Order: sequence, then C-alpha cells, then structure tokens
Amino acid sequence: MAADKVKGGAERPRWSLDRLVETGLGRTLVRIAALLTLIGAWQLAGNDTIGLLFPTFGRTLVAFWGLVSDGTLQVALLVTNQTLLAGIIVMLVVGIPVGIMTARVSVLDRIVTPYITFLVAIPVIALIPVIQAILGLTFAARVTVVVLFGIPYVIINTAVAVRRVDPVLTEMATSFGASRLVILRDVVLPAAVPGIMAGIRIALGQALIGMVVAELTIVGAGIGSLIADLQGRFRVAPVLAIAVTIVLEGVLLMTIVEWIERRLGRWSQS
Amino acid sequence: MGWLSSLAYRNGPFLLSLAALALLWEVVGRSIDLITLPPLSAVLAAFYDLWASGAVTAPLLDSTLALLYGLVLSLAFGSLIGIGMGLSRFVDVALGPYVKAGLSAPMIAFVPVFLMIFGIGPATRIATVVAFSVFIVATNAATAMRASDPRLIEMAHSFGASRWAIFRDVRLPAGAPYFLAGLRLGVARGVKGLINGEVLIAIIGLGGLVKKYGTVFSMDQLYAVILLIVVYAAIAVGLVSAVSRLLVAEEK
Amino acid sequence: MTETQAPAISISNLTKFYGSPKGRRMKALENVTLTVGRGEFVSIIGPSGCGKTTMLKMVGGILGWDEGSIEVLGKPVTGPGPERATVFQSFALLPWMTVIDNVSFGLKVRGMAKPERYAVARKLLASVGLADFETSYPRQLSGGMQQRVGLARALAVSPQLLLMDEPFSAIDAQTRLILQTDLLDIWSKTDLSVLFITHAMDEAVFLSDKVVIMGARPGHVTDIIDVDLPRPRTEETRRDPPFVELTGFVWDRLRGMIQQDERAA
Repeated sequence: MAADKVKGGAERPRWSLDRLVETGLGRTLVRIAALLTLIGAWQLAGNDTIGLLFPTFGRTLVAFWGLVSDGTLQVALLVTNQTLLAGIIVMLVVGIPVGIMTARVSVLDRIVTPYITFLVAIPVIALIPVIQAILGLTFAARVTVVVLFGIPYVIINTAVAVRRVDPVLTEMATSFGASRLVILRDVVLPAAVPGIMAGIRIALGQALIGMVVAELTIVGAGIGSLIADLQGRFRVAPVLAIAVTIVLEGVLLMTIVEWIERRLGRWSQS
Repeated sequence: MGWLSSLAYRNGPFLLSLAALALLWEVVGRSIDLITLPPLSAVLAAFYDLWASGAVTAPLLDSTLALLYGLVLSLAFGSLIGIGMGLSRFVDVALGPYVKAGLSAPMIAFVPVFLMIFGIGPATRIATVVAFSVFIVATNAATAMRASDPRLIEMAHSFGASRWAIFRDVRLPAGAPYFLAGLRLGVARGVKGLINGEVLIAIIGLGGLVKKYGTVFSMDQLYAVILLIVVYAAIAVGLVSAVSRLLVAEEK
Repeated sequence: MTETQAPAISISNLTKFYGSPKGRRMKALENVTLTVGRGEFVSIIGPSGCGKTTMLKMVGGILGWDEGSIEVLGKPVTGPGPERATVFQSFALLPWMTVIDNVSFGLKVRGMAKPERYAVARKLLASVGLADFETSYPRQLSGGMQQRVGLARALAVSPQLLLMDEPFSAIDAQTRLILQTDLLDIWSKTDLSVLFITHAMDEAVFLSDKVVIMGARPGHVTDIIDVDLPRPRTEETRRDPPFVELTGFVWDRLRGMIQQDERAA
C-alpha cells in the first residue's frame, strides 16, 4: 500500500486501488471489470453436465434467448405486470386518502392502525389460501395479494408525512384566512409529498414481492404458470433466467421510483 | 377505573370490528358449503389438534435450525462484504450496485430456483434466508464503517496506530450501533425469508394449492397450519425485538 | 376637526389560562391592558415565557383567550381577517413555491387572479429589493432575504395592521440592523400600525414609538415607555445619547426581572 503525502496533513496510507475510482472513467472500468468477474465466477461455478445443478452463465443465457425468441417470456411478463400495475393503482388510490384521513381523524386512526400493524407484522403470504378461497384463481385474487403486501406502507408513511407538516406553515396559512380545505390542498399535501413518495418507494418493493408470490401461488397466465411448467419439465436454466429477469425488472422499477422521489422532493433537500 | 375506560375507548372500535370479522367468518363458513372456507371454530379445533399431537415440533425445529444457519451465513458474509465496501471506495464501486439490487429487488423470485437445485431440504430454506438478509447486513456494515469520525482516525495515525488497531479501537466502537441495527434488520428479514420460503415451498413444492385440496390436508388443517405459521412469525419477531432492545440497553 | 378613530389594537383586562379545564390552571397572561394607536409602531419586549407571542397570536385571531377583550380597528377579534397580516420568526415560506408564488400566497387565498397577483407581488418584491429573485426558491436565499419575502407577502394583502413575531431573531446581527432600517423605510411610506415582538432592547427602541415591557409568570405589563426619538431614524440615531440611555433603561428593567427570577428559582 502506497503511503501518500497529503499537503499539510498527517501522512495517511491509502488503498492504492481507491485512486482508481476517483475518476468517472475509472469507476466505469471498475464496474465493468466487476461484472465480468462475477459472470466469469458464475460460469465456473455452474455445471452444464447434470441437468438439475446450478447452471452456468452460458447455459442460462441460452435458455433466456430461447424464452425471448418465441415471445414466451414477453407475454408472461406482460400478464404479470398487469397484476402489478393494477395493484399499484389500488394501493395509491385507496392508500393515500386513507393515510391522510388517518392522520386527521382520530377515530379512523384507532380503527385502521391495528389492522395495518397486523399486516406489517405477519407474513402476508399466509393469508393467500384465504384470499384464494374467497376470490378463486383470478386476477382479482392476485391483485389483492399485491395490494396487501404494499398498502400498509403507503398508509403509514402518508399518515406520518401529513402529521409531520411544520405547524408554523398551517398557522401562517390560517393567518391569511385560508379555510381548512385550502390548507389541506395547498399546504399540507405539498409538504407531505416527499414522505408520501418515500412510502410509495417502500411499498413498491413490497408489491414486487407480492407480485412474485401471487404469481407462484395463484397461478394464472403470467410467469407463475411459465415457471410451474418449466419446473414440471425439470428445466433449471430457464427458471433461473426468469428469476434474474424479475430481479432486473425490480431494480429498474425501484430506480425509476427513486428518481421520481428525488425530483419531487428537491425542495426539501437543503 | 379510569384507565380501564380509557383503554376501552382507545381499543374499542378496533376490537369491535375484529369481533365482527370473527363472527362473519364463522357464519359464512357454516352457511356456505365451500370446502375452501371452513368456519373459524373448525380451524381453531384443528389448530389445537396439531399442537396436542406433537406433529409440529419436529418441522418447527427444522425450520428454526435452518433460520439460524442462514442468519449466521448472512452475518458472516454480509459483514465481510459490508466492511469491505465501507473501508474501500474501490470495493464500494465494484460491489455496491449488486448489494443495492439485492436489497431492493424481489429475491423471493429465486425460491423456485433453489427448490429445483436443492430440493425440499434444509438447503433451500437456508438459501432463502441468506438471500433475504445478507444485503441489509452488508449495507448496514458499510454504513457502520463510514460512521467513524475521520479526524479521530487521523489522530490515531499520528500516534502511530496500525490499521488493525484503528479498526479495533476507533471504527468498531463507532460503528457498533449500525452493526446492531444491521443485525436486527437482518434477523427480521431472515425470519420473513424463512416464513415466505416455507409457505412458498409448501405450496409450489407439492404442486400448487389446487392439488392440495382433499389429498394431503383438509382445509381446516391447512388453515390451522397457516395460523401456526402466523403465530410463529409473531413470536419470532417479538423475540428479536425484545433481545435487540436488551442488547441496545446493554450497549448504553 | 379630526374624527376620533378607534385605535389599531385595544386590549383590555386580558387573561388567558394554560392547561385543560380540569387540570391545574396556570395563568399565561393576567389582566393585560394595552393600546396601539393608528399608525403607531409598538414593540413588546420581555423575558421568555411572558406571553408576548401568545398575545400576538390572539390579536391575529388564531388563538383564543379566557377573560377580557381584544378589538382591532374598533371591532372585536373573532378570527383572522384581511386587515391584519403576520410576519413569522421562522419565515414560514412554502419551500416548494418560488419567491413570487410565496409573496402572492395571501392574495391567492383571497381569490385574486394570477396576473393581478403577480403584478402586486412584483411591486412589493421591488420595494424590498428582491426584484431579481422572483423565480428563486426559498432554500436558495439567505435568512435576511427570506424574511424580506415574508414581509412582502404580508404587505401584499394591503393590511392595516402588521403583526411581527420576532421577525429578525433568526437572522445574523449585521443583516438584522440593515433589515431594521429597511423596515422603517417601508413603514414610513404607509399608514400601517405595527405590533412588533422582540427580545432585543436596541431593536425595540430603534424601531418603535412605544416600548411595552412585560414580565413573566404570569404574563403582565410592567412598563410602557414612550420613545421620543425623532424620525426618520438612521444609523446616527443608534449613537445618540438619548437612544443609548433609553436602551440602557429598558435593559435595566429586564435584567432586574431576570435576576429576580433566578433568585426565586
């Protein structure tokens, strides 16, 4: 390890590798190298000879291509994402107003909070047989699962965000003669947006889990049925390919939501 | 008497709605002859039977052992990766994106893969627990490393302290609260991973919920098992919070 | 012959309790009587806990009281009203809105259309020296500039009474002195009455026609001092012996109260 002389300060030994990542180019190179190393390790650790062992990167890639070339994967993903989208819409349309009302109406808070605490504490997956019993092997059942996974976080974070609005701001608005409705619309809600977005981000993470779980248990025409079919034929590589695809989709969606969260909350960052 | 009435006032509306739901479940279960929705009383009876027969103790033990193995693995690897990321910008840039991905993406998608490779054994459960918890342990370990005041480190260097001494005497104590937080969160996620994994394995390992009807379990037994899982999860999480509060209190 | 006008603020025998009706009733304010004449600039100064901010909120119509009366421009206070506007210690600007949107907030609440609101806001921004910052956000401005926005917002609704709650306490000492002079400058061009709360003796004496000293536990008026210094008041005024004397007198009274409190504690 090279010791660097820092001007005017104590001599500090620094990892010389650290200097590589100080430039944008260096960072990109390191990232590419890391990716290649991981893929290489994957290739080595895998086993292409016996069917049911961990597949190599190569075999997985081939399997992926197989699923994509005849559109099977795309169709399955489309169906699955419809469930996710519907779930997200319900979570927002129901969750945000409930969150707001919970923060402002005490009776509602006392009724709703225990159910939310229950949903957060238990593994929601355990409720699936009940959901299936009531709604059958339907789209509605899957959407319900997604909603139950994520909506508590929307409600809780929205309520907290509304409660934490700086009371001086509402005082100011009252002093100018604003009515309760105007204060809610023009002061409380905009002030709560960063907190609400944080809740949406967390809820999305949960909703993704819910989507996967719903697909695998309440089997429809999406990736759940695709995986079940491949499982029956003992084809590990395509299942792994699908799992990686879902993980990548999850990362993409979370990155988008985080970007939106940052943009909408710019005014609250000092 | 005042506290009793205020307790009732606070929990009243919820308890009432809960009682209403329980009543509804019982009535619907009895009136509609759905195999899939037995009345609450039948489920509670099956639940009691499960306990009394001792059929649950062995599986519970197996699951808890898998949980513990998985957690130990997560803690070990997660801490290693996290400390590396916290100490070296190079490691952070190289591995950071993968840790972040593992944290935010639905790792549960790998359960079918684990199932196919490892079968219905402890390995699948351990793998699931690790997949759920290792990333949060790593993230918190990295934060723990970054928490030390750089001026204290500079000061230690000026007194000739070795890298190891600095790690042991400055970084570890400064990072302790974050390590503990990572531990707590890792255990919570690990339990979630175990539970989600168990139920998922049960359902898809045996070929799906539909196939289960009428073959292995009757519905009220199935619900009783689910109820058991819920109680288990509640106790596990409760235990973890209690222990972590003790740990944190000791820290102070 | 001048017609007798009701004073800007008329507070009589005002008493306010804290705490719930069943709990121990402590008096926040006891039997306070105070008048602010039309066009007068009156400061209230006192140690923490003397109820000065509470009084301002009651005059502003956002807090109630238990005994006595408060009248603004001859009418009893029942809530906030268009003839009063407040400037806040923490500025209370809406961080997601631009400066011009913040200044026109009061007008928006009263239903004025955008082009008119913006025209009024622009004029006021110019008068507080922030004409070039129309599209900036509060976080991009210094404390002093943010308070100017707060002042512009209050003036935008053409009030007759300006209520100022320690408006310069959160601002650095140098900027504060400049803002004091600017405030007097703006005020002198209007016929506004001002009720100004502060902790700083020199500020109270420099700005006001009358300084009201209040004591704590319970809040009550101890002195009302007429400030006879000529207007316009400038930086020179700060060095004049009468100013120094008055400021010294106010400080002596306050210090006495604070030390008495410490001995009693």
